Amino acid sequence: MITLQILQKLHVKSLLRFKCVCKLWHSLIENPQFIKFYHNSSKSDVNLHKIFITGGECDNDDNYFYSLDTSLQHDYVASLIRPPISRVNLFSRVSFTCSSSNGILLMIFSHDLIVLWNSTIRETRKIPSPISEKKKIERM
Amino acid sequence: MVKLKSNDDKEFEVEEAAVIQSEMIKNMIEDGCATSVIPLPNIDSKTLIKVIEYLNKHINMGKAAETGEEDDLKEFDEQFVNMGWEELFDVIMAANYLNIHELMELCCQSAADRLKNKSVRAVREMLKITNDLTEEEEQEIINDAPWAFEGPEIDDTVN
Repeated sequence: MITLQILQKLHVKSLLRFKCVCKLWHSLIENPQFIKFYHNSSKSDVNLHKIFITGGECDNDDNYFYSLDTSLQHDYVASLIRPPISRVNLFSRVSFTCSSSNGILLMIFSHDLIVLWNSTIRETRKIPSPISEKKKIERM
Repeated sequence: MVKLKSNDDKEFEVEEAAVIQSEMIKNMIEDGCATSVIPLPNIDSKTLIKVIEYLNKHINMGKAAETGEEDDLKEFDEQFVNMGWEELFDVIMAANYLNIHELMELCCQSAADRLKNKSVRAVREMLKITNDLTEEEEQEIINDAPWAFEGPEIDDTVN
């Protein structure tokens, strides 16, 4: 299918926008097989790889999250990304981060806040902290 | 030599070494179905001329690497896709029908490059797609990733 061949060559930002084109495009882009194929082919394309940088001070708004293109071309882009959840800026600093091979970052903030962040599509999932549960039991 | 006939009844002779880059025609030749003229009912002569130009340039692709002609081919490819939007789509349809993998890749990449920064409205117009999403559905998609709809690069023009 010609549409699919073209969609496979677009960047994530374009794909997320083009879900709005029509129902067919929406279902093609959201199709799990398409996502899997897209992910596998972008893994081998170094131009699509990102370097993720984070840091900042506690108790102020200087937390920063940068995503950098790894391609060493003249038009590489460094973009400032909003922290995955607003609470990060207000109360927390990143105490630990690690990334999986699928481009999903596990971020552990203070206050036992654990978040999985897919920085490519900028979606987050909070996960319940096992530590806080343990603490709760200790307190009881 | 292999003879190809476009849908406006024009015949073209192409070297077998060039034409077998089309999987479809390669299979026809192997099956002994290409003894006379091969009719191509989906391709007009203007598009077929472009396709043949590509096939002739890309004969012996493997040899290009050895003889240092890679840059030459790259430059040819860049020039080749420098065509109008409608024309590009005609070539994509032809490459798809004839099953010419490299040409398909080249032209789809060019189409993607032209679409990547376009607004939703521009994409619909360029590809003549009718929007069948409701306003609510559209808003929901925008709300899921508002950042994908913002940015100085987003281009609402149709060309």
